Amino acid sequence: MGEFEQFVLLAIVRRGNRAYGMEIREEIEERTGRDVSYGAVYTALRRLGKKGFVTHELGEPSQERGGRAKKFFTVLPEGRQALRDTRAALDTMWEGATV
Amino acid sequence: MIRPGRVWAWLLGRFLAPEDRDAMLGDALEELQRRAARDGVRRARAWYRGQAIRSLGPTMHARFDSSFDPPPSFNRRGEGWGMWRNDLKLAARGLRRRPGFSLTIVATLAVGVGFTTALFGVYSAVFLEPLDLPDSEEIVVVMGVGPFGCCGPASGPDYLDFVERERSFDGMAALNPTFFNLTGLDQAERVYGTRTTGSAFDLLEVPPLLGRPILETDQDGARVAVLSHGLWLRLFEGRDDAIGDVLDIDGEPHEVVGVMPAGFDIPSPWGTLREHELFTPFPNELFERSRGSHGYPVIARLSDGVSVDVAETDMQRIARELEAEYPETNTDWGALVQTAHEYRYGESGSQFRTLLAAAALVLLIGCANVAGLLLARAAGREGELAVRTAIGASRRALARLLFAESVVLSAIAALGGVGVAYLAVGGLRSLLPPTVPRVDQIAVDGQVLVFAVAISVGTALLFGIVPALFASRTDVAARVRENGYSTLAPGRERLRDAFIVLQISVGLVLLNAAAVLVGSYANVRGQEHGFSTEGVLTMALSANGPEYGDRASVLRFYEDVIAEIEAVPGIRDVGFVTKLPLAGGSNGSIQRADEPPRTNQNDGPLVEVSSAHGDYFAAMGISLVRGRLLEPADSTPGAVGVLINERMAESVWPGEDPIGQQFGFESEPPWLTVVGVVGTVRQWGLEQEALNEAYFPYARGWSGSGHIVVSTEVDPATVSAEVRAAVGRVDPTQPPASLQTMAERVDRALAQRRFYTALIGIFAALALGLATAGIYGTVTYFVGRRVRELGIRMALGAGGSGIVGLVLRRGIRLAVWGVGFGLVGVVASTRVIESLVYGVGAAEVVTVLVGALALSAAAIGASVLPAARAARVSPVIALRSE
Repeated sequence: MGEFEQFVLLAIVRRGNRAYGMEIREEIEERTGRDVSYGAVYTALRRLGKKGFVTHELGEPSQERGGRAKKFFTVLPEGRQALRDTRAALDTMWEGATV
Repeated sequence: MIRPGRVWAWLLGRFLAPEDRDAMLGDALEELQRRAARDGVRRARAWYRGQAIRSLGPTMHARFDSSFDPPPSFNRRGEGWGMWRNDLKLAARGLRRRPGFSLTIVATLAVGVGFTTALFGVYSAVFLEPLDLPDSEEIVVVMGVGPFGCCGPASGPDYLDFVERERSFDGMAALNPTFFNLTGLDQAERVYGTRTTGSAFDLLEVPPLLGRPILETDQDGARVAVLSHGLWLRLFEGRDDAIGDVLDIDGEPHEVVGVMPAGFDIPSPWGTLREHELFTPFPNELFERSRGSHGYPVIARLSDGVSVDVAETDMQRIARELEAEYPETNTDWGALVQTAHEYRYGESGSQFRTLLAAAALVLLIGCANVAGLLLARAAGREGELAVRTAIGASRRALARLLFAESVVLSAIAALGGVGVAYLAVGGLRSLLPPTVPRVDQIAVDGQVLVFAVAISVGTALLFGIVPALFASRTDVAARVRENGYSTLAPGRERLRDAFIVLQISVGLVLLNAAAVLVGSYANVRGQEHGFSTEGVLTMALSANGPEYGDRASVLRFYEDVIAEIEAVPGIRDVGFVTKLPLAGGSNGSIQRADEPPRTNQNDGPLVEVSSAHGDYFAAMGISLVRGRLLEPADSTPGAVGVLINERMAESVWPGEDPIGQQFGFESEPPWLTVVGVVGTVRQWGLEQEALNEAYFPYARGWSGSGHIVVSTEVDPATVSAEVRAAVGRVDPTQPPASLQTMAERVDRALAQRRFYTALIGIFAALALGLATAGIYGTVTYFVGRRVRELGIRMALGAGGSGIVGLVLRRGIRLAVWGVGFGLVGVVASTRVIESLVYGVGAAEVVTVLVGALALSAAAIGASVLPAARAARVSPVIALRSE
């Protein structure tokens, strides 16, 4: 799993495991200081969905959004496991390494 | 609610999977509202644009990735660039196999790209480059806007008031550009330069290369001079000991105190095409001249944070104050502030932008042409594409392959285009009219190359992407079933039609522009200018120096020169005038003697003033209409006789006999008496209306330097050396300059218009040729491909005329659409070309009609010929045709 995909999963988890695109983008920007593009966020979400790591449900449309509905994403147990695996793999690699 | 630009919203969602698009656009819109409330609308919109652009990369990549999912049997050679590289190789190989097709496309595009690039090169060097001065965007010119329009220089007293009252500038300077006679050298020389206040050098912030600049203390009558780099090299061969040396300027010794570095010049709003070579102090006594006598251009440097508009408002305020204080001289005088760059290059720059637009239209026609060809070729390759799809290539992959072809083509075309641009820039440099500044700086440089690459990429997108997307939309089953027989899918046919309509309409716009300009050129060239151009030689001459301190001695000098030249064999008439036709002039308002005195000096008709002597009117070929020419008695003080032109006779004394009428430039006697009426000449240029004009006898009129005018019985070129020598025999320290025939002067006045007209004409011819060939080629190809369908129709009982009619209707429909859009374009373009139009409307109905017919004929003819051929063929053969 790529770094950015991890960011997206963690952003959802940090927002109470239910977040829509704008919140995810904001969360990443606030914590990493990177101004990421919506294109990147949604592309990552689509990949994560294909891998079975996230699922989504539609909210109510609102006027502020030009009548468009929010798409709320939730990290599935497989996604959480993948996050843990990635971290464990990284920790293993870091162990004893001086950089 | 704050809305993003429609284009940006479209772009943001363009490549995202459709099921995510709504949610993402909603998110971005929501965030836009929040940011607008927090950071302001402008910054929020800028953020949105940034999002749209940065989202392109990931979303486009994802689209390629997710849909390019071939089965294992299809050779997937790699990701990203790797795939592209293979497609590019494949495309290059394919194009090599069809050299005729490839060459046509490359040549079409190279010409379009090359011309557009070359014109951009000229435009960028001549008009975009800033002036060669520190922080040059802060340098402005301050001009007066008088009751008769823009733009006049300032008067001395006005300038002093400007300096005292302004709140916008870090310095102002007054100039007095003029020709100086340099004597005491091997050969006397006339150089262009300017008297300048010391402040000019301070505000331009360029230190001298040697010595010191002109200082304010020099304005008290110091005889010092600062040389331009060029003059220093010419006179002193670049020696340091020039400083302290003495030059005879207008007969007075001047000490050389400084030399300016190469490339330096004071950006005077006058004589913008001449370089100042010599700078001398602006004498304070000039400030004491009349407030009504406007003679000194003013430049200034904007203070930090002051915009041109603010400075102009400030100067307007002062103008209003002066108007209230000095109503007799300053009523209706306003002020104009413009950057020196805009003042110098603004107008010709905008004309040049029209040319650039015309070149871009040719390129657009080229693109439509090429897109039509590519589409036709793609139609011919449907079998191949179907097979590729059948073995697993996705639509994206096919589109990429087809697009790769346009990338290869446009890359080669870009190289060709740069080559064409190099040649064209060389050609343009020699063709450019002498009125265009900075011609020596025109080159194909880095910026121009970037431009060439950018328009090539744009071109590839324009002509490549649409046909690629359409052609890749192949219905495999249908194609395979048909075994390669094909008719056109409706969408693609509409696209082909759109290209044809585009070519017809853009072609019409260019054709109209060319026709209007050719008409204007003919008008300017053919109009009556009121003087003779055959066998008339002119030269500038002044009498400067201590021995010419009074008007009598100056007049004696001119009379001697006239007599000396008259003795040269082959000479017919010789005269002197202070202002040549077409060269601009000086003017003032007059008071008729028989009308009540005016309250304001600016009231009354505006009249141009010249002084003439000798046989000027005969030499210049200006006819005497009524009364008599000037005689010595007309110079009698208090009883001065003058000549006026026909226009003035008609406008000031309509229906009356002008002879014997009296008027004056002052509001009181002594009056001037009209003794004769002469033909009207265009004083301010071929394209400026002729104005009222009065000619004084030189002894009583406005004095100063002027021009000797000589009419010859032989070719003027053969006597010019003798004429020059004759002047030298009278006084070798007063060299004549600017020896030119009137024919040359007229030619020069026409040069710019001729250049623009020729260029637009070339573009229109190119456009017409490209469009006709493109339309004919594309239509013929597609109708040819319908032969099988037409055969079936005939087998089912359709008659030959029915078949032709079917195709003809389609051709006519295209022509009608194309002409319709073209007419809209013509109307839209009139505003742009209006500035270049002279004496004709901005739309030429006849030409537009002829052009419309020609282009329609191409579209219709191209449809009918193959259809007629098809109608003659037996259905059996037609059915076998593929």
